[in-house]
Amino acid sequence: MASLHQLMYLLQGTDVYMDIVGVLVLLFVGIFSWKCYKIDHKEKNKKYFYLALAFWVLAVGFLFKILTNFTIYYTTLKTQQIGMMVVTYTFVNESQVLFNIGMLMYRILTLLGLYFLYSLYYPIKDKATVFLNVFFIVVTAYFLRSAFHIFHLTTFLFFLFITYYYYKNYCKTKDCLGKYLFVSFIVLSLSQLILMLYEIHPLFYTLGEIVQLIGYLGLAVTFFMVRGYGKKTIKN
Amino acid sequence: MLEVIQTKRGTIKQTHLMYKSNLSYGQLTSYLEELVEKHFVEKMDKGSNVYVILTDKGSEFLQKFREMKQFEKTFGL
Repeated sequence: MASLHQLMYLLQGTDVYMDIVGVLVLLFVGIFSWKCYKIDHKEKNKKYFYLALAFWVLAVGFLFKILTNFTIYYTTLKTQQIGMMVVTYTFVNESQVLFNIGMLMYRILTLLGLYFLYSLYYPIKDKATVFLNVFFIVVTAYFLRSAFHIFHLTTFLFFLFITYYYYKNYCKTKDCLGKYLFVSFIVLSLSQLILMLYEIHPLFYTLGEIVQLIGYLGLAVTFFMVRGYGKKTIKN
Repeated sequence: MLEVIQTKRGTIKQTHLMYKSNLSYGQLTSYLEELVEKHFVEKMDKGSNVYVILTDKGSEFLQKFREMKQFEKTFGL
């Protein structure tokens, strides 16, 4: 048990760096998808656009989560009368504003990003349904502040369906990179399951973050292999 | 067509390109015109033969095109 606490102590604050890796990977994929959209947009190909949008929204969500690690301090003057004496002193307060806003935006943007990704693979044609879904996501994200395990359960379900799509895609194409992507998303789904247990023991948060980092690193490897594929010359 | 030229190390006889790409002479001329216009290939006369050469821009386009295709395949787009 002591070694567990030592591990947790060592990893304290490193979740910021893990999240930064996630942000960078998501941004890179989003930027590439956006560039593809700019090349192919004449053919009204919106797939690249929605993929870029989904990854960017997820990245901004992570940025808000990183923001929660910063604290705003403010000083207030307090006057107190002790007998004949009036004592005035300043004291430093810690503001929860950044934390609350950061967490709310993180929840909203993560759910929205995953929803965009989900609806790219399981399209909903009706605009009214999309609008209602977005509304429900925002409302749910707001009320999930006291039930973080439900938030991770929701993200797990999104990841699960997206992973299933990637699995079907891999079975269809038998592409090695498709397999890497599918495995990366399995790891990301798993990380959400572990993060769900955070309220049982804080160690699950550390473990979940590490698994999530592995998932995003897998996604990064897959993405850079896709980029490297273009440099290969087809042999005669 | 660009891939066919690249497999021949960036230079190919026009007639060979026509056979390798399974195109008629008319189709080849029309496509080549567009590729020359976009600076993806250059034509060069060497004696009685016409050679088609892949430019840097053409090579770069081919690379991006392959990346896009692989990205599309991997992400199931």
